[in-house]
Amino acid sequence: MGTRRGMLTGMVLAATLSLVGGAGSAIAQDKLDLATIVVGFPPGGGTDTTARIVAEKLSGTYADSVIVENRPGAGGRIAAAYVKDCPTDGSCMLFTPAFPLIIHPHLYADMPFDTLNDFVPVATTHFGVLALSVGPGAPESIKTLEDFLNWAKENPDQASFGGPVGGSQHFTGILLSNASGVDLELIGYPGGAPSVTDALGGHIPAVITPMAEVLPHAAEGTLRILAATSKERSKLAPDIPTFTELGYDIVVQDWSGFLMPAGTPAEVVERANAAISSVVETQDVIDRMGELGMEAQPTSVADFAKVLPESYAKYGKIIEDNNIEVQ
Amino acid sequence: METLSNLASGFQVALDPYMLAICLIGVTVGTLVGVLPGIGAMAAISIALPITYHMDTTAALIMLAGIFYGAQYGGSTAAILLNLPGTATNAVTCLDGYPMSKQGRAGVALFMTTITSFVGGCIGIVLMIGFAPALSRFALSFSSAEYFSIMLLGLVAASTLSVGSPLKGLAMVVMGIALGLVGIDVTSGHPRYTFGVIRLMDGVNLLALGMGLFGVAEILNNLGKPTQQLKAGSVTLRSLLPSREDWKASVMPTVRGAAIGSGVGTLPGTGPGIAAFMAYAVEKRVAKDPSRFGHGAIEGIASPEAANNAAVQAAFIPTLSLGIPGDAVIAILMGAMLIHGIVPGPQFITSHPDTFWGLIASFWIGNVLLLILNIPMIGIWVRILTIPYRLLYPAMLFFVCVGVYAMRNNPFDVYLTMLFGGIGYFMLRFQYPAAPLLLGFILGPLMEEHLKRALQISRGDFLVFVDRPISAVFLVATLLVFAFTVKPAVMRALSRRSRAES
Amino acid sequence: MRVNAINRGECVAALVVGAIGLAIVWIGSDYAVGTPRRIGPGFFPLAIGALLLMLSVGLVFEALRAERRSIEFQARPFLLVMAALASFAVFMERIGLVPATICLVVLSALAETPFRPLRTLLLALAVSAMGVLIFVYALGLPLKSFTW
Repeated sequence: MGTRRGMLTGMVLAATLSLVGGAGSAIAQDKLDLATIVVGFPPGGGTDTTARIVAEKLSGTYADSVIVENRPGAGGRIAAAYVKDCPTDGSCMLFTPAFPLIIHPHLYADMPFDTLNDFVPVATTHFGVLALSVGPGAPESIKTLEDFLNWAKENPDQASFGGPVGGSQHFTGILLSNASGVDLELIGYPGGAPSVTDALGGHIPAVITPMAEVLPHAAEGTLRILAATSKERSKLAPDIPTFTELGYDIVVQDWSGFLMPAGTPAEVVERANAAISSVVETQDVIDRMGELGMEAQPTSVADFAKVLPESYAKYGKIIEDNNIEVQ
Repeated sequence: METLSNLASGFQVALDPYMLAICLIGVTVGTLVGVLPGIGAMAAISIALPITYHMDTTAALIMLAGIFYGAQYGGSTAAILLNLPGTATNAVTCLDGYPMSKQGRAGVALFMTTITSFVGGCIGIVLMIGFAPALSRFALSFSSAEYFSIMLLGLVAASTLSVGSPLKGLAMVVMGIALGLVGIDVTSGHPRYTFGVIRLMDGVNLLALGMGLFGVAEILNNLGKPTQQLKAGSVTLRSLLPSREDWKASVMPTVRGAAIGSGVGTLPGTGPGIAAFMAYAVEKRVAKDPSRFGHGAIEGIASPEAANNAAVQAAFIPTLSLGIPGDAVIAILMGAMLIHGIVPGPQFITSHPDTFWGLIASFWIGNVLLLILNIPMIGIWVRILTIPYRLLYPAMLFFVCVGVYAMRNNPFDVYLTMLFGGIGYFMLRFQYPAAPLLLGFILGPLMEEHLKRALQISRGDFLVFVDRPISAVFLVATLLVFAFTVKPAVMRALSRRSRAES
Repeated sequence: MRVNAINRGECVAALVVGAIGLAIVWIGSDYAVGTPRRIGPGFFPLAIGALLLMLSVGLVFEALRAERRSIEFQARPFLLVMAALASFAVFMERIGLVPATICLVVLSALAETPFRPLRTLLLALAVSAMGVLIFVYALGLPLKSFTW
């Protein structure tokens, strides 16, 4: 009995102490010395890793403390929906690749946000390049894009590539099919990694993936990269020709960047852009992003504000022209 | 042999005092986090990630990996004591671990799982060292057809998981598959059964499902009934130790579990959970008296726990040698590697031998540390059972809520847990088993994905499942398992009819 | 076949399984079934729903032939625990971790009789404290203790 009461008293003391402590930190949060970067993907992926690299560098300069909050789900849409309702004082921003904002609205009927009106673009970190690669599932003789397309024409039953359904990889494939007149079938995967696995195992002939995902395998020789979707040759893979060089007008270089809820004052946005862009321009960050297969490319607020609706409209058109339907 | 000398230098790296300390921190944090239901290795690793940015690469990886497999050790603790699976993979441990706990054999259960986890982990490591390249080639040869067949085998085996009516067990497997249909269909991008609710786009949250069906349902079941409390004095060292029969009964299950775990764990995309379920099903099948399972059979925890830990170690094989993460949590580890500029893949072993072999050596050291850590802790854990239930269960509910919420920072998941808690309660009352539902939920969508993809790649040719040898083997095994399950019922029906006729 | 009054519960349970199967097929009929080469989103739901329907028939027969068994429910603890969990979900982001926890603990403690208010309150405070210590401080999870 005595010990029981002692235990309870101890617990109460501990409770009161930590509640007071907890309340203290709550007050500190209200003073906006905390900035949160909301990421719509689980930890460890490319998006999350980039966000953390930037967050680390922003800590102390942009805000006393900058943390990353993961709110994964619905391909990044849940995080976006969350941020759109966040305070407009610069303490909360979304870091996302383009596709949940510029592709999904055209594919899904029930969107929890309106890309063009709910967000104000702040800064970009990089523009993702995709690549078409072949592996053991395709004949050894295929060394160039032309080889692949010719083979695909002669083997319509096997002309396929792996990638996620509804992602920019999917669209790249469609654009290639349209531009070359060769019908390429998409074999759907839940993400990039499983498609690369099947390609390595020789179960599918080709994959379209972010450049970063295939570079290590290309170095090893297990996969051969045929073409890249960037405007110019990627600094990370200077031997890989672009689709444009090879005669196909396919440029898929979607941004990844930071956005804040609409209504955030312009000075706040500019301040954030200045902070983020200077971080993205430091050699250390350029190197680390390079290791992840990304070419750091900051833009100004005005430029990003132009690119966003342009990219949105571009995919709207592709989806409409090709009657792509997912719902 | 080159491997041995590499291993030796690896141990040199790993036994460095700083590295040892890091390893210790990693596995301790992992165990503690694993014990907390819901907060799993994933949360712990993502929290530790920023801290590791400034550490030496090898040290960073040792710590993160330590958290990962440490969490596996910890997860079984909550499962045994409170029927709260720490992760979905520990749901199997609940099946016989919790009954053992109710019989007063919690200490024995905890002790046994610690030992078999260790053995399983060791076997997994040995395989990693010896056969990594061969195993990764084997893993790559698995296409969707093989995945489908092995999972079909797993599902049919799952119908043996149930205690009681096999019809109910089967219905629950199918119900689990049905639940797994909710969400965006991977191969077509088409949302199904989401009713426009964006939070269902990724499907029902596995953690919410597991916590609800096992943890919350059990709490609901216990309320209003007098519960037996362990008296503090009865927790002696001797009551914690397994008996001779326990040891003897656990040897073969452990070996079998480790074998299954290593095999299944190597395949990218299948996790330790699937390995644990399969190991359990195999044990139940080969046991002389299968009716003991579900009521505290020690084989029922020895095998899955060995499988669990072996699978966790084996999952590093495709990760390190191919650069393909075997598991969502390992993907985070890969992220850590990438941040440090190490790209796991074929060149990893040759370009960073110190890191690779140091890591492998640290796995073994980590497992030993865990053994040393956990055994004394068993007494402490068992004492938790002496806390009056009326104080314990609100705390349990709290941990469940926070764990589930923190996974996606989403209150919706807590509502899901609530819903499944209620459903689980009714299931318990009507004796519909929960474990097959969980397995159906995990395997169903994967099977559908692989079935569709296999047929798409084969251009609609159904024979692909028998043409490919590995797939054919699994299908034959499935038929055999099915036949043996059905045989007793068929024989009974036949004999009844012949008796009626005579 | 005599229908034991007490087995009505079991029958209902079996019928629920069937009803779910029916719902699956009904809602799933909107999804395309596709061809063997390109199986659509509708195939599996159809198969699963049909399977559930068949199984529920078997379950009904099994229920009718089962032995008598009393199935009791206790509504009060059930509803209170449900309310407790719901309150946590509702308050977590609106008021913060600590108040949500207190609500959760108090409501769930009400489910056990006899209810002891003072001890429950102490327990609630203790659990909240533990939670803040472990999850916010030790683990650094982005959970807000109070959000006003």
